[in-house]
This record gives sequence, C-alpha cells and structure tokens, in this order.
Amino acid sequence: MSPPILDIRNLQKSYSDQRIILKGINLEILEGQFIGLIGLSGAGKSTFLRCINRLVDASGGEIRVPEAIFLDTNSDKVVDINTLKGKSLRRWRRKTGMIFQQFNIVKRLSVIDNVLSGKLGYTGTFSSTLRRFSQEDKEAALINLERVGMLSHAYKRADALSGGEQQRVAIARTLMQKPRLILADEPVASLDPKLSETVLDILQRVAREDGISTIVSLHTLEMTRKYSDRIIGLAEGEVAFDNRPEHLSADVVNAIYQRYQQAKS
Amino acid sequence: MNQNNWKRTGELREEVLKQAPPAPHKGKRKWFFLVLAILTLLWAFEGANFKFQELVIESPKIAATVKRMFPPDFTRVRTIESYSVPEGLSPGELLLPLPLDAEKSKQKRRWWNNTFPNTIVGATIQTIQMALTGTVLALIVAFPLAFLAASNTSPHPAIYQSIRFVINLLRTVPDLALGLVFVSAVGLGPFAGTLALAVHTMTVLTKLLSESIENIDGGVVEAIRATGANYYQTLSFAVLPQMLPDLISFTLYRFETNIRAASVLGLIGAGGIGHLLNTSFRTFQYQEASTIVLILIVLVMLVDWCSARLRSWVI
Repeated sequence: MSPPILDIRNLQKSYSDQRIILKGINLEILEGQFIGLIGLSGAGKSTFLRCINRLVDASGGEIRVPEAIFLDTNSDKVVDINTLKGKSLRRWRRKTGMIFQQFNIVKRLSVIDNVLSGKLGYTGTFSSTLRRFSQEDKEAALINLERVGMLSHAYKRADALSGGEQQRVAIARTLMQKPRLILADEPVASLDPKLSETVLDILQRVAREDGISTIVSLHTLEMTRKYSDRIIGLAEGEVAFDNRPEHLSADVVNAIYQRYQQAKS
Repeated sequence: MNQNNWKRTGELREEVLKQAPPAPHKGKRKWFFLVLAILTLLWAFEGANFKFQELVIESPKIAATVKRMFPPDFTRVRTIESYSVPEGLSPGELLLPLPLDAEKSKQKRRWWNNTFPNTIVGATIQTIQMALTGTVLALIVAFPLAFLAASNTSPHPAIYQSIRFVINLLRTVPDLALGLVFVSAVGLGPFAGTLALAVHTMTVLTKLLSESIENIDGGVVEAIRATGANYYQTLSFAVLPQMLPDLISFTLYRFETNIRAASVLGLIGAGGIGHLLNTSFRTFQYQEASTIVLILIVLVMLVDWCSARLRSWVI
C-alpha cells in the first residue's frame, strides 16, 4: 500500500486572541479518497482545510506529505508542510486545489483567463503577470472547461455566469493545477439543491478520473452520505467521527451536532 | 412568550414599555451644539468681512463688471496676425511632426516655446498638455506605490505605514504651493507647473488607489494564492482586475481636475492659460478675459464628456 498523501499529527490552531480552533487533529488521508467533512459552523472545518494548503498557518503539529508528490524528486522522504517556505510552499499549493463557497473566480476576467489562472504556479512570473499563456496551456484550459461542461462559455466574462456555472469554472481552474489533493470548503452552500448535485457530481467524477484525493466540507448529511467514501466529523476542534458513511448513526450525528442540540433545548 | 399574548395586547404593551431600556436623553446636548454652531458661523462671517449690506450696495458694480465682459471678444483667437507665424514656415510644417532642416526646426522650436503659448489657442493646448503629462507621470508613480500603501497587498506593515505617512503629509500641500516651490526651483514656465500637478496628483491617486485595493474581495486573492501563484501573479490576477474600474475612473477624474488646476497654475507663472487670463484682467481686457473663461468652460465640459464615454466603454 502506498503511503498516505497526508499524515496529519496533532494539528493545532489558535488565534492570538486566545480562540482555540483546532485542538489536535490526527488523520491519515489516502490517495484517491473522497472525504466528506462535517461539523457545526465554527467547528474548525474551514481552518482545518486552510491549514493544509497553508492559507492559514497552524500553531502546532505536523502535516506530513511525501516529497515526491509536489517536488520533482524520486526520494521517498516525507516533509512537514508547516515548515515549507517561499517556492517549495508554492509548489505544494499548486498540487493542492481549493474550491470555495463563494467560488472566488475573478468576475472581470473571461472564463478562460480564470481557468488559466490555475496554471500560475507552473508559469514564469513575467509572462503570466501580463496574462500571456502558451498555446498548450490554452488547449488544456479548453479541455478542462469541457470536462466541467462549460466549454461553450469559454470567452464570456465570468460575471455573466450563474453561481453554479461559476463553481464549475472554479473546478476547471483547480484541474489546471494537476492537483493531487482538492480541498473544497462548502462548495455548494450558496447553491440550490439541484445545482449542488450537479457540482458535486462533476467534482466526484473528475476526482475519480484523475485519482485526486478530495476533502469536501458539506452542510447536509444527505449529500455527505451520498458522495463520500469516508466521513470525518469535527466537533469543537477535534475529530469526533472518522469512518465509512454507513457507520454514521443517529447517535454519532447527535454527538457531532451536540452543541446545537443543547442550545436548542 | 406564548401564543396567548395577542389576546391581551393591553397587558403586553405595558409589559414591553416596562421592560424597554430608557431612551437616551439628547435634549440638552442638542441645544448646546446648535448654539455653538451659530456662534462659530457668526465668528466666521466676521473674520471673512462678509456683510450682506455691502453685498447689496456693491451689486451694481459687480453687475457692471460682468456686463463689461460681454460680448466675448474672439479677435485674438481668430486673426492670424496674433499667432505671428515665422516667415518661410507653413502652418503644416509648424503643427505636424515633419522632418525639417536645422534652421527651420530651430525657428519652429522657438515658435512653439515662446510665441505660440502666448496666444489663447496655444495656451489652451499647453494647458491640456500639462494636465495630460502631469496625470500620466502621477499614475506611473502612484500605481506601484498604491500596492505598497494598501494594507492587504503591502509586503510589510512598516512599508505600509511609512508610505501612508509620507503620502498623507505630501497631500496636505496644495498644488498652488507646490507650483510656487517648483517655479522658484526650475524657473517660470510649464515645466514647473507640470511638476506641481504630477506631485500633487501622485499623492491623491496613491491614496485613492490604495483604498480601492483595500476594498477588493479578499476571497479571490485567497483563491489565486491557493493555486500556488506568487506575489506578482496574485496582484495581476486577483487585485488588478478588481481595481481596474476605479483606476480608470480616478485617473480620468484627476485629468479633469488637472485641467482646471493647470489653468490656475498659470496665475503664478507656471505655464498654461491662467497666465493669459491674469494678463487680460490686469490690462482691463474684460471681453478677452471672458473669451478665455468661455474656452476653459468648453474645454472642461469636453474632457468631462470624453472621459464619461471612455469610462462607460471600458467598464
């Protein structure tokens, strides 16, 4: 068996104002897994995902990753993501795609420019800052747009698209990174149930096709059960559940959403 | 509260009134500030020597002066003599960038530098040139500075703070004062005026653009950073597209403002049409002065219209 793509050990995060968000997370993420992440708002889902690609710096613990995944090397050395800096950090980020609740695509740029921006980690500063990309990259962008069913919109401005379409463009942008891991932070929370299914179908399909490990935080149990092959429940900064969907019993759900239950009664 | 409450609305009302926090008392403070405001205004009128009585007495004189400005006298604009074209040079050779022999180009340069700017049309064109040059120079400097002076794109808080401080300090200097400084430094003429416009506009644009950068959607910045993009790539993809409409609006607006400012700078000898306006008034050529004012009005309106078109076209 290949080593885990992520080996998270005692990951902690607290902010300077004493708020403790993550109290020590221990997890192993295997290659190709599609993981649903559940928990209350404030349980630390977003922070956890952002610690993995270092948009947020953890306060303690390790995220161990095989070096060969993101550096051009054949060594079987394992490095701690928390120690990465500058170029090697950007190397890690380009292998980690991220999808956001608010899509976060650049509304004033065309769809294809948005998709091409996924290639920034691979291109030289000068030409890409001037938004010049190679023919090869442009073709790859069109292919990825086709994979999310947005090819016909390639040259539209992104603000002309609906929310569901914008999220599909965001997935195409992520695919340009040739990621080994996708972190999706409530990717369908701003979409209606039908569009949510469309977007999650696409995400699941492309992740399977490319063998990308995916961690998706979701806010409905129904969708989490349907799509995930492993579910992780966070409660108050700790892992409260980590198993296959069929083991997610009513009791476990109650435990994960405990605080909510208490507040309601 | 249970659902029986609606039946006992009277009781509920009393209950709510009893529980509601007391409304803050503002009465006395309000009167105090009103009296203070009136006293301040009276004091200001006194200091400014403003008397309504005198305004009534002087109004016929004001009307007479305005009357003397009409009709505007366009003679100096129209007649070819006032342009004193050097002999041997055709208007085409003067106005277009054509290759000329040494003697002719010397004459041409002298005409452009000394004769033409003293005509109304020449001074108007010089005013536009000053405003354009000043605005572009300011933009070139302000554009990179704005990224350093915005809290979300500045590489270090110390850089952000120090640039903010210097820019805010410089911005308090009026462009007319800057003009006086540059006139005494580099001498009379449009060069001094352009420098003054450039420096003042640079400070204003840096502030406006940095605020525009601070108002962008941070989520997009996060998303571009998450692709593994470096600092410059993030600026280009996440920040620049979001600030572009403001960049265009502010620059065009400052260009308009600089046309007005360039005309005022002429008064202190820093080039442009203001100089002619001043001369006309001093030599009691009121009808000529009104022509210049009229040209200025048309010019500003034209620039305003053009920039509105350009803005809607780009954005």
